[in-house]
Amino acid sequence: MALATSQQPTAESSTSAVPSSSSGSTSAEVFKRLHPSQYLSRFLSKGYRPDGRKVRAWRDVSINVGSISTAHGSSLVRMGDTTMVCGIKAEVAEPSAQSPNQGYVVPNIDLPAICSPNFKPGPPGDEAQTYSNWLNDLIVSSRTLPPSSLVISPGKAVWVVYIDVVCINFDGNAFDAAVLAVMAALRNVRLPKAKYDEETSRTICSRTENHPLTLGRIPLSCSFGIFDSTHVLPDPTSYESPLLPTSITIALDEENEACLVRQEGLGGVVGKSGERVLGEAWTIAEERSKELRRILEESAI
Amino acid sequence: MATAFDRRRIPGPEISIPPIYEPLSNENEAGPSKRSGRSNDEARPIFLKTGLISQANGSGYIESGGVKIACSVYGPRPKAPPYTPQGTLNLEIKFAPFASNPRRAPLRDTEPLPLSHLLTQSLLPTIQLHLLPKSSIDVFLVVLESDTTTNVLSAGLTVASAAIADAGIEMYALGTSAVISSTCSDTSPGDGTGSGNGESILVLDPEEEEERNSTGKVLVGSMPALGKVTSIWFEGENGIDEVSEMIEKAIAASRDTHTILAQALLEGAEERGIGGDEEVA
Repeated sequence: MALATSQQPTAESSTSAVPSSSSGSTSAEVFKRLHPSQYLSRFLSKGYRPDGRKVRAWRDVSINVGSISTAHGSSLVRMGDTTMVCGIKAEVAEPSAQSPNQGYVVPNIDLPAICSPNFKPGPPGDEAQTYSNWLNDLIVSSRTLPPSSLVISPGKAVWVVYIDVVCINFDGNAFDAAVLAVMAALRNVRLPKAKYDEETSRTICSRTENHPLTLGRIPLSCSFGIFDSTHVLPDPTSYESPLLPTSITIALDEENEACLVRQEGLGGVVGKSGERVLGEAWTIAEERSKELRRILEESAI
Repeated sequence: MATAFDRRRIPGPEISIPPIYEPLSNENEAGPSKRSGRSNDEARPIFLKTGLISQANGSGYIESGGVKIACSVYGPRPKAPPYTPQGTLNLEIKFAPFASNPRRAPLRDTEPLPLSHLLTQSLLPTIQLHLLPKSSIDVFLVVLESDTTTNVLSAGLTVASAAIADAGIEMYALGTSAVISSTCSDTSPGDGTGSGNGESILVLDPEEEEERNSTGKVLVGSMPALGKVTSIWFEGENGIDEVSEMIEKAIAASRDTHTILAQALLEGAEERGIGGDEEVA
C-alpha cells in the first residue's frame, strides 16, 4: 500500500511520460511491470487510475478536421494519448447488378506497427480486423451513410466511399476514438458534383461545385472495462485493457437511442445484477456521448 | 484479377477509379505555375516535433511542403537468433490509403518497398550499430499525406533521424536530406530539346508541378555535422558539372534542415525535462 500512495502524486502530476523508464522511482516502475493487477487495484482503492484521473473519469478528447489535403475528408482525434487519423477518399465504380441503386461504403481500421510495440508490420492483425468489422456493422446498421445516397447514375455509376482509419498512437480504447474520427471525417467530406455522360460512359466531376454527404444517424461509442468484478472503468488505457476481462461498448445516436451494445467476457460486478451494471454504464455513456457530440459539433468550422 | 481475396479487410468493389475532373476552363491556369511566393533557393517551411507517440521509445512527426509523416522507433530490442555482432535496422514505410492521389489500395501498392530500402541505406551510416549486438531497431514511418516520392524520402530521412535520436540510440550524426531539381528555362514544355542550349534553373525543394517539368532531380542524404554524404539518388538527364552543382546545393540546403532538426530535438528534450540543467529539479 505504501508503494501506491508514494507513487500517487507523481502519477497525478505526470501527463504522458508514463511508459518512459527515465523516471526516478524505479521500484514503482518494476512493481508496475511485474504486478500490473495489484498496481492497478491499489490505485483504484484510492479512487484514482494509474494515469491520474478519477476512477469514473474519461480522458480529454480533441478533434482536428480537414488537415489532409489528399483526402476528400479527414480528421485527427486524440483521446488521451490514443491518436487516430481518419481519411476518406471517394472513387467512382459501377454498381453491382443486384443493387443498381446502391453505392459502396468501405470502412477499415488499421493498427500499424507504428502505434504500439505489440503490433507487427504486415497485414491487419486480429484486433484491427475485429474493429473494422465492428465499425462496418455500426455504419451499416445505423445507416450513417446510406449507400442509396451515393448514386451518380442508377445502374451506371456510383460513389465508393473509402473510410480508412490509421492509428498513430495506441493507448487503449481504439474503437471509441476510431468511431469519433470516422464521424468527424464524414462530416468533413466534400464530394465534387459528378455527372455521368451517357455517350462516353464516363463520369465527369466538377472542379468548382461540391456538396457534403447526406448523413443519417451519427453514433458515438463509449467503452468500459470491468476490473476484478468490482470497478467499472470507462475509457481504459492500453495498460489497463489486458487486466479487464469484461468489456462493455455502447454506441448511442443523437436521440440517445442505441446503435450498438456489446458486452464481452464473463463476469459482472459482485453484488449487482448484470442489468444494473449495464444500466449504470448506459447512464454514464449518455452523458459522455453528449460531451463527445459537443466536441464533434465544435470541430466543424 | 481477383487472385487472392483479401479476407482481412472490409472489401470494396473490384474496380473503382479516382474521380475524373472536367478540363480546366482557362488555359492560363494550366500553364507552368510559379513557385508559391518563394525564391529558388528557399525551401518550404518544416514543422518537426519529437515525442508525440507515447507508446514508442522515440518518435517524430514532420510536415514539410506537401508531406506529412509520423515516425516511431522501437528498440533497441532483443533480436531472435542467429547471433549478430552488430545491431539490425528494420525500417518500414507505410502509406495510409488516403495519403496520395490516386488512393493507394492496400496490397496493390508496391512502391513502399523500394522506398524503405532506399531510406534504410541512407540511414544506416548514421547509427552506431556496432554498440548494439544481438539487438534490433525497428523504425516505422506512416505517410499521412504526400506529393512526390523524393519529398517523402527527404522528409522521411529527417524525421527518422529525429525519432532515433529521440529514442536515445547512439548515432554518429543526424541525417538530413534535400532535393534539388533542374528545370530548363526559356523553352516551351513541348520542345523537349532544351537540355543543351537553354540555361537551366536549379530549384530547391521542388513542388509536384516543378518536379514533373524538370530535366533531372537529385536527392542527397548527408550528415551535415560531420560533412559527410550518406546517399545520392539522381534521376534524369543532366551534364556532370550541373549534377555536381546540384549536389553542392543540396548539401548546403540540408545544413538548414539540420538546424531545424537539432532545434526540435532540444525542444523535445526540454519538454521531457532532460538536458537543460535548470529543468531537472
